[in-house]
Amino acid sequence: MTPDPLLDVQNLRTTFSTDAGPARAVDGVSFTVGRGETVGLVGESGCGKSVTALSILRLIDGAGRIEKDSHILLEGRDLLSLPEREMRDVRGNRVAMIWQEPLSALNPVMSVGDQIAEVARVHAHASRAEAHAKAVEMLRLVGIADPEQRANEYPHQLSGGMRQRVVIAMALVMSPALLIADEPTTALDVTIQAQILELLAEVQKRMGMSILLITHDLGVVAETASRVVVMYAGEVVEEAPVRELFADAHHPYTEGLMRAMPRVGGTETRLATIPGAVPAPTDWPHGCRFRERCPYAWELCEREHPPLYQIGAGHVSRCHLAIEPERRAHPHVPIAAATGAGAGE
Amino acid sequence: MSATSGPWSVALRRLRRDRVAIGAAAAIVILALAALLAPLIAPYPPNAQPDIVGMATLPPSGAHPFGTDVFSRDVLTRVMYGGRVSLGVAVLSIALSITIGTAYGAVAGYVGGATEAAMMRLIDALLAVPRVLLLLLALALWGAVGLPALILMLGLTGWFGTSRLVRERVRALSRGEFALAARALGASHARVLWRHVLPSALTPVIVAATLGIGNVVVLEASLSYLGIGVRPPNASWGNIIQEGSEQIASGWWIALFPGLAILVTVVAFNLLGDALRDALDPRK
Amino acid sequence: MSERAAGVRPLVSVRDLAVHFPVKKGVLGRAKGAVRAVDGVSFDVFPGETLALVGESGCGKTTTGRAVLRLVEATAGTILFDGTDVRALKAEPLRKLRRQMQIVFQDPFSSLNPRMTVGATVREGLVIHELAEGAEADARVRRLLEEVGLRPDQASRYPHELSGGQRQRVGIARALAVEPRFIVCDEPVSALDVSVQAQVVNLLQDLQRDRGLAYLFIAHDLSVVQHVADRVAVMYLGRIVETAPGEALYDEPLMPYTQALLSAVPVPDPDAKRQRIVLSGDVPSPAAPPSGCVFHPRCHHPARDAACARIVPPLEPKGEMSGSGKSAGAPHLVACIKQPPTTVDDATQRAAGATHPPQRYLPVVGAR
Repeated sequence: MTPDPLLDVQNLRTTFSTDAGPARAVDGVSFTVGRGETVGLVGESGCGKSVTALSILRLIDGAGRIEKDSHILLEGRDLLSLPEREMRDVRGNRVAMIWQEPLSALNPVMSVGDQIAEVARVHAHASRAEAHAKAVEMLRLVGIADPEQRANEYPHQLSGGMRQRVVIAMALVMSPALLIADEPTTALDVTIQAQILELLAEVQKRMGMSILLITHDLGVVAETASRVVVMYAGEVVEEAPVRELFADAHHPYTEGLMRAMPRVGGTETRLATIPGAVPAPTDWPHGCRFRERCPYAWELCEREHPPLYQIGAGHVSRCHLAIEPERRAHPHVPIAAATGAGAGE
Repeated sequence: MSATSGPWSVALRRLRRDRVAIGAAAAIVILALAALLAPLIAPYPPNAQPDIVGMATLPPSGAHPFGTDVFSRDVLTRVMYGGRVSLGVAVLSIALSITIGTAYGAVAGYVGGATEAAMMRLIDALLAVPRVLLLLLALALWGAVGLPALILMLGLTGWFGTSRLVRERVRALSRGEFALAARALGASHARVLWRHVLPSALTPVIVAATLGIGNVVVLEASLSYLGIGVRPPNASWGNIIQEGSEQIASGWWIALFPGLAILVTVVAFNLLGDALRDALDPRK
Repeated sequence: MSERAAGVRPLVSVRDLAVHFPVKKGVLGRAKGAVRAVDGVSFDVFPGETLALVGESGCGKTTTGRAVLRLVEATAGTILFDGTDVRALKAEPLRKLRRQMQIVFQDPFSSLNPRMTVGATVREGLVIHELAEGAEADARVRRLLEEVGLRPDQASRYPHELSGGQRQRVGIARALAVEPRFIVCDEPVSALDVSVQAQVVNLLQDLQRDRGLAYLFIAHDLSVVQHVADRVAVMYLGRIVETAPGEALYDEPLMPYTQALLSAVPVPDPDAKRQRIVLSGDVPSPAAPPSGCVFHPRCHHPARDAACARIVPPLEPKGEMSGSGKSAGAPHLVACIKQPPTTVDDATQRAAGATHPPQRYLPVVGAR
């Protein structure tokens, strides 16, 4: 979708073996991230967005594996065929990741300055003094006042927002080309979230990196991303430039998410809901995976798994409505609502 | 679905798939049955001395698979009867110490505050004294003791660790949200503790109890070996070994077989305890 | 606090509530100061209405909710439930009163007993208050499960077999079993996915309508609050700094902290052009709250001056009575001496070092 993208994920499939059989957590996901671009990867729990991120870094553990025909091209190199040694160099160097819970990403018995310095020492083979100077510089970059002082403090001495700043500083030490941020503000208060989002935008402008922002919050996406990839049940169901997605969502799931979201300034007295729940990854429904929760589904949706239809420039949607758009005018009660009384979720 | 999805049935199902656990449990069942049914299946009366001159210290044979001891008694029979005492003492004293430890720890953890602090300082103090020393002291003061007194002493000196374990869990659980929800419903403290907190607090106790049985078997054997535990002519694995150790050159089998019984018991309970710990782990 | 519709008595009335937790140091556990988690909070909840208590982590909203139910003991203040002095109750009458006031927790994982089936969990209240037993209790449990949108046959399930939304429904059914009149909803939807969150919000609203329930709805998410609340109280560092009918608060937030909070909520509209007030720094420790107005070190009001650090601002009426519907006649109260009108007159302010007169400051208008 982007010419010469920085990251090009092609047909990514990541499967976990479970007691209930193989779980196809990520099932044929393709998308790109351009240079300097922020792409939002949106979905609810269990849609496969975090597994996608871990797959890009090849951090899938024992029970999971990335299937053979998947490709993850970073700057033209397929990360999935790199030897582990070279992959270690990619992590933290070209691709960095920040997590939802900053406390778990930090070592409790190491000062934050030493932790940041460690990255410089491992990846840039910096001397002790250089690494320390780098740590202080990074802390200043992420807006921590008194960086020389703070460098000596330990994670538990910092507030949640401050910790997330430290995690970001660690991620940025090597000026990575891509920063993967997995729900970076979900654990934070809304005023602190505002600070962190502002910081991310600022460092992106300064360092020119790309950001893959994984979130469930459409508000955060609207404010930070230029392009949005919506995931549902292990698949990409819609992808569009951010304005187009919010103005003209095509996939019924995206549409449902937007309606279900309470918003400051909204006037509706009752929230729309999506009946039912995300199916289990061991047992994706045949045909369209959203079919049972969809108010437009018809027999074609049961018979045929929808491909990604082209809707507009850079806008694709995995919904048969693309070929029979008139059906959108006649919604019906979804199967999940008719049978489960909201209990299926 | 309902009958098989409870935490206990899940644990049981996991255990059934664990070969080591099955093996350990089988060994324990065999030892326990041999001990329990000794009066019915033992080849000889336990203290029969058929021929103290002609049949003393016979090596293992068809008639005496484990040989005979210096008093011409059948060692297999002695080991079976000794198991009654050794395992019985272990199980009963563990039951006693688990009960005391759970009650003490539960009260301390639930009540909290200064009461808890005082109760736990006492435990710290008691734990600072080596248990064997405590037992030796008590036994030395008491002189000869019967089995009930031995069980009582082992039980009374064995609950400190359990109380710590329980207090820790009860403390965390009783401040947790589902305990708070029960209080908000109007449940009395006793109900919150008994119905909502204790069932979840007991899993590490069950593991500790299982591991503890092996320890007590060894402890009882040590005391009996020192001659201050179970007194002859009553057999226990410890005192059979003690008698056998005097004949180690002429009758190695006398000490070997009760020793093996202890070894199997301890290893089996430890393996079972480890398996239980895994099976009861809710994170899996 | 509220002189609304004559004759309607508040169901819950809280005055000057304080909850201080001693900070203990050393082996002897001597108290060295206190964390002022809740520090002088007053509010009323009327029958059938929803009062939202909003604020960020550590502001004391959860502690306030628990103190009202006496799940946490208050340090000072009065709590009246339908005229009964809750803080004066002995154990047994308190246990009985708990039938009427319930709580729904945030975390649908830790708030259900993992060793109890759904049915046993919902039944617990019936058993405790001897409301029903045997087959009648079973029938009541089934009805409750249906009322919260679960299937009756799910009574035999264990919590770990349910999704987050289903667990939250069980938590709601547990609270409903004893037929309360008042429920503290402590962040009941913040752990849920968006689509499920909407289902639970709607359920809570239906139950309120059908059963005439009063809610104290504790939340950090202002967009959810806008949907459920008749009135909103904003907390910061253990105090209520602004309270108003929902519309008034979202249309005309007057306390600078409320303004910042509202402006920080991400808006799912890429074309929204809004001024965002990004507060600097973190919330100070409630063990050592700032003097005067607790918000003054981070305040962005243009008239902020030395007086703000000296004068504790009273929670006083500003603007007209603007509520409608259930909140009709409820006042808009704000704790800020720089937002006119104020009872802290110019002379008093100047004596405290004021260099700026109060001035109307409204950087976030019509956030609705």
